[in-house]
Amino acid sequence: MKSRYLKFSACAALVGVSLLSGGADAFTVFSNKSSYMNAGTFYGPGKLPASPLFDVTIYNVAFTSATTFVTPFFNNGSKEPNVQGEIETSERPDGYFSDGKTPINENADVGPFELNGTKVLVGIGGGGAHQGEQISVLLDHHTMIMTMDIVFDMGIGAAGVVAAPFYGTTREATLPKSIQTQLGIEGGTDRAGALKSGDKIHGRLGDFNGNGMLDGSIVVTGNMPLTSVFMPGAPYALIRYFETDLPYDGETVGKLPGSTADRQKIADSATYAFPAAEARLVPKNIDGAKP
Amino acid sequence: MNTTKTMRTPFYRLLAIGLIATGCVPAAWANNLWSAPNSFLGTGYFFGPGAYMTPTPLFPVMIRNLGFVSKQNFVTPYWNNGAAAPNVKSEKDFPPVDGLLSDGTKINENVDLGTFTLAGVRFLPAVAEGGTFFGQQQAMTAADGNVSMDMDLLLDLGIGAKGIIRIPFHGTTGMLTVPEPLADAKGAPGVKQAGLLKSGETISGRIGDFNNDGFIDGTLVAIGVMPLSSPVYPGQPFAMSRNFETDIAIEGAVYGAPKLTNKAYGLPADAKGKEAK
Repeated sequence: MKSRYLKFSACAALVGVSLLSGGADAFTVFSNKSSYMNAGTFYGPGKLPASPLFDVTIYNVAFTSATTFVTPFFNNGSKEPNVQGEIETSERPDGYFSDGKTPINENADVGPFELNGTKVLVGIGGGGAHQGEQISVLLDHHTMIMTMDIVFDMGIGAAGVVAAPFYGTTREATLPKSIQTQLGIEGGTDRAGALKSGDKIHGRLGDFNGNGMLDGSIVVTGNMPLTSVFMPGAPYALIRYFETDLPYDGETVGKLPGSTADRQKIADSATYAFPAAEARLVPKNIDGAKP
Repeated sequence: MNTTKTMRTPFYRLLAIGLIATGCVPAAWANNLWSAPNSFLGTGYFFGPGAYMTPTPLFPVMIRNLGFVSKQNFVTPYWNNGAAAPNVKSEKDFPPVDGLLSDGTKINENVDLGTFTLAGVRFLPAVAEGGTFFGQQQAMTAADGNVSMDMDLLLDLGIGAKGIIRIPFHGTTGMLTVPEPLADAKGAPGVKQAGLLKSGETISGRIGDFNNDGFIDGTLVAIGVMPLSSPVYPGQPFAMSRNFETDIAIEGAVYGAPKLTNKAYGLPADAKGKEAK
């Protein structure tokens, strides 16, 4: 994580703007084997047993309001940074899933996922309902929801690229029945590993490790699409433990440093200080820009 | 959820509607920056390029979905959903409305700019995909409080690739020096002025809360030189002053606190948070 952080900062310095790819300043959400409570567990789909969840670090999470955080879509193709999952499942990482047309949001650095003995690339895909962004919203009762277009890629081209809406919550999720059962078709598997359809799983949001930063767990349930080559229609569930570097009491944003007087000193030394200089420079018959 | 209290302000009513309708927060919740003829002090002026002496009123701007990536720095993410709404205003003057420049480059539709008429020539101004900033607009606050904004500004004449001028835009509420012109291929110097401003003169903006509404406003100044490849005014300096308003509180606002969210919903601040401690 640290080296990637520095690479982002170096990149920003090169273009003269420290915000490019924003690594130095944005906050980060992370969940991995060594983080608090580990990465979490994936249940199913269907009869498959529980699997340890893949590691993930989401960089450049930005506030768009007091209650909303967005991970902007970012993809620079084969150039660094590439997500760890792609690096480990592809000989030549190109920033795309194996269908060659769905770009990966490279701000969400997802590790490889081993599901039933097979390495799967998981990531946030561009071009869907969320335009490749990951969006989180704070609600009441310490509830946070996180939504994105998640993509599971078996690495066999378009047929093995499965996109699904991801709706995670720190509150409660209920394991659905298989799509087959919901449609009255035989052959569905109404379970996800040890969980039965109808079982509820709970998440939480707070500062459980007591380090002053927001952490918690997000729960998700859903079904594999019927079009999936892998466990079509089967339900799945996951619980994702996460930590952040966002203070639990929030962050004060937008407050300008320095004083108006300090800024005014700079303005006074200019040949033309705007907006006052408009009166000197703009003839009165030009009024298209004014109220 | 305490529905009654949730609905007591338009803010929460809209939030609830947005959540029900889309499962996520609508774009309206982000911070915004705007500049229009009817906003505080109007849009501002464009000076030059070169010997074009008449100051030109600037086009209106609405930058949506500003995201704070730190306490004082913000980014307008690149976002494009093609022909679907919202589209940028100036596209209406350059049909079809498809989210694209005339060479097919995708516009960052978070940066909504109006048509720009300069010396009788109409341009579609836009921030678009690719380039140095990957289609983003980025703002950084210096230690003295002055804010700079950077982006790749594209001026599209609407005639395809040959009519698209890409200008690195660096605006600041601090001070800038009007640049020298670029020499042409034969080494001949250009005009050392940006309209009424002479090369070497300095211009400055300001930032604060000058209309006393509790939110940041100010004036950005920007300078630059038209690229030599530009079909209009190649190599000529320009400058501009852009008056703007925002909905960013001058005293700052606390973002990302579950306790404050509970409070806003009428719940004890630490509801469920005590479990966290």
